[in-house]
Amino acid sequence: MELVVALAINGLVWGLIVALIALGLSIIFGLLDIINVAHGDFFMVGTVLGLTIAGTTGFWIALVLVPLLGLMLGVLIERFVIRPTINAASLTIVTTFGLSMILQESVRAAFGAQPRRMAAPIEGTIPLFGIDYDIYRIFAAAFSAMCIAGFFLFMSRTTLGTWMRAVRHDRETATALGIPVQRVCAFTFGLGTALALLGGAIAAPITTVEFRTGVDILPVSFMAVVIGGLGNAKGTVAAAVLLAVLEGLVSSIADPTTARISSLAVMSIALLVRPHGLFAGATR
Amino acid sequence: MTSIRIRTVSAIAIAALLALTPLALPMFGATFWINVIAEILIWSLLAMSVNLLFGYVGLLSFGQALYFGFGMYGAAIGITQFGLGLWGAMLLGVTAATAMAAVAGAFAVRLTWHYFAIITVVFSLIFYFTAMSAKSLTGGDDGLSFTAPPILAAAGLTLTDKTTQFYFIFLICLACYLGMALLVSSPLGMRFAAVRDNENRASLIGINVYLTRWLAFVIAGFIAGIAGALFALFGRYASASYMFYHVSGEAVVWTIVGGAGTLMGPLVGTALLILFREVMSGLWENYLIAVGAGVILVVMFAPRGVVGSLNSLTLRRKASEEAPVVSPAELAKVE
Amino acid sequence: MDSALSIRGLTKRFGGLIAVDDISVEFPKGLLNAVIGPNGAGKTTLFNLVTGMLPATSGSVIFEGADLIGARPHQIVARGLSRTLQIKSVFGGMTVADNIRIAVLAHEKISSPFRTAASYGAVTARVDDLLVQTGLDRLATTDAGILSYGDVALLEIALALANRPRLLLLDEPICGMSPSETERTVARISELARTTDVILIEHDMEVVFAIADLITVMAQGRLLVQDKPKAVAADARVQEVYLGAPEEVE
Repeated sequence: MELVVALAINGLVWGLIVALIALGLSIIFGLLDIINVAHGDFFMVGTVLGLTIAGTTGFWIALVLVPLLGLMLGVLIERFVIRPTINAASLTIVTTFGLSMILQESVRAAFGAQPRRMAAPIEGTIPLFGIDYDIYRIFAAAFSAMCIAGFFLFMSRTTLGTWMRAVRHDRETATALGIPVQRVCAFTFGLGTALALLGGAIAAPITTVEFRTGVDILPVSFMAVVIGGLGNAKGTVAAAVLLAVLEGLVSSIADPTTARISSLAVMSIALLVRPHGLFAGATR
Repeated sequence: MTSIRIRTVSAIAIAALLALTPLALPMFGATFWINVIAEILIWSLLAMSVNLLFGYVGLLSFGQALYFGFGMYGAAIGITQFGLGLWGAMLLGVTAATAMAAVAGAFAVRLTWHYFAIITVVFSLIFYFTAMSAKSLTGGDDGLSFTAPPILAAAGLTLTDKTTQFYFIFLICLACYLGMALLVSSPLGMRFAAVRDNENRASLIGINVYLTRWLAFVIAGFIAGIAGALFALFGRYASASYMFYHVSGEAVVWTIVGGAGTLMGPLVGTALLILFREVMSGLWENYLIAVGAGVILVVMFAPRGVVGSLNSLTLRRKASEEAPVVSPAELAKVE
Repeated sequence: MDSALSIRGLTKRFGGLIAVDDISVEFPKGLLNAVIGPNGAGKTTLFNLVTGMLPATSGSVIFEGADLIGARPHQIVARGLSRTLQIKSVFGGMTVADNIRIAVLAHEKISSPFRTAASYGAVTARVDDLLVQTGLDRLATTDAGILSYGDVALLEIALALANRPRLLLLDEPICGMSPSETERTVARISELARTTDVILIEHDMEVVFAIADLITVMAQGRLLVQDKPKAVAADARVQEVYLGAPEEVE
């Protein structure tokens, strides 16, 4: 029983982190119509930068710096890599694949191929539902939830957020209304990247940090986005959390691989039955 | 007409050059490269399967490694578990791959655009994870090793002789390329083009768009299956890691770089990138950065790939991409 | 006279809006029929109903003894009724000849992967016939994507003819053409009408009054009048519905 609880809470923690990453993937798809195959690698870069910067400035400053770096990186990538290739529509996926290769290999070159682990910034455990649970993980879950809430507030309360929603709904009308669509797109990619890197920074203390971590997280993020509905932010968050908790619970009775396969099977069914996502919301 | 002649002549030239490789290369002391080129030929078939779907039907599949894997494991398991001969193993592999494509395709081609790409990856991941965990059958990540049965024991033809092996692979690939050339100019090939060009118009003239796409998917799976079976026989090895989406992605890259929608594009792209890898991996450990950058540059500046861009050059006489709305003949008339 | 197409009590309602209001009309065989009316009269909706692209609210459309209502578009095409679209759309990536070729192949239900398309002699002969019939033979090897608007319209007609229809519905075929293109296309349509029954939707009054044998006038989803061109031109109701009658008749 305790194992199940632990796995379920682990699932929740990871679900919230994945939700952050998937949100980034979702807005990039929703506004820019791009399937970003490099998104998992953005997460990986977040873990690497988190670990590296934390070595110099301590974890908490790293937690702030990494997403900011992500924002800058994303804006630059949008301007110099994405925008020039956006016209060959189905080929943007190839562009992001190339980007993925560059990111993975650059990290391998700079950081080395050896996986590393990072010490948790908050030590210790507290009793939770009858087991001793890592305080840091609880922090990670809470912080992720806060950031997700912040994201939704941003989208609904700020001008930029409103502009983003307008561009997603109807790009032409948005342009006609005087919204600087080009800059909104650049910011969107930047924000999406930042979210992935932020997820990475948060996850750094609870995962192995190496150049291949992105490869595992990409399918998971995609599942959340697809089941939640491509372009539907709230659905994506719900799907991410549900999927992670589900996988956690299933792995208590079967091995993780079976859990992963069952998630993928669910995703296939969702795609076939309702390609626009299981949750009602913006369709594309 | 001239451009078609140029293309046909170059294709024949390439085929002739390839046929001579096992004889010519030893003269330069480069016997190592015979196997490299054989491997390029095999992988080019995987690229061909991507090309059929993307270049000719307009469906970008990121999951062809699945059918490659079925072909590969079909052949490997056929030999290790069922004691099949070489041809039996190939038949098993190709049949398994085609059957899987028929089933998966029935679902996948109901979707288009992004959703299609995503579901092809999902299907391939499901079987990748299954293959990884069914270690007793597939050897998981470590894979299965085996000795290859002879091609024709009576004639003493085995795969252990580099030259014989090369010609075995070469002839099968040649058959595939010829088949593809015929397919593209056949009525079915024209249906593919119509569906890719204007889906609505195609259904208005009576073409069943779903069925046409499904057929393309099955044929693509068949070709990928041949590639997988050949790969297993060539390496005497099968591993689940070749079913990962990264392999599918590489095949897409080879196709785009070589030129989607052209016959020789997949071969050129695969050759360029594998040769690049062979040459660079000794010089620069992180050569993949250059590959990634190269891919991005190709999409930016030459989205039609090497062969596609060359084709455009030979078509200079007829107005092509940047076409006037009113034909010159109309402009010349005085109203 | 025999009817090429019989429409009985055809109605189409979109919620509260009645786009086609209880129309009953016969289009006789052997005549070049034209349907005219101001914008919003329901002409294209009528075509969409007849060809199965829109489900009818009520009524029937009899073609060669059978009711078309309820049949799917590709089934109606198979029965020998073809139409061109108002928004012209062809296969831009193929040559003009190949556009027609794929239409003929599709009609003949040929889909083999084992022979080249060019090797079907009968098909190629038919393609050549159609090219000549629509005057596109000099453009046979040109990419359809770079055709002038007028030639695209002719290609649309060629594609519609590929399945040997007994009735051809042309939806604003000369829309957007230059005067010389119009002349050419109109000549083609007149010739076509000698062998195939044609119903034409058109806005250009000069053209309609020049080539049509029988004009059907629609307004606000209803049938206003059906008569020979001279009579229609002189009809006060028609003049009212348009802001002025055509200057020249016949």
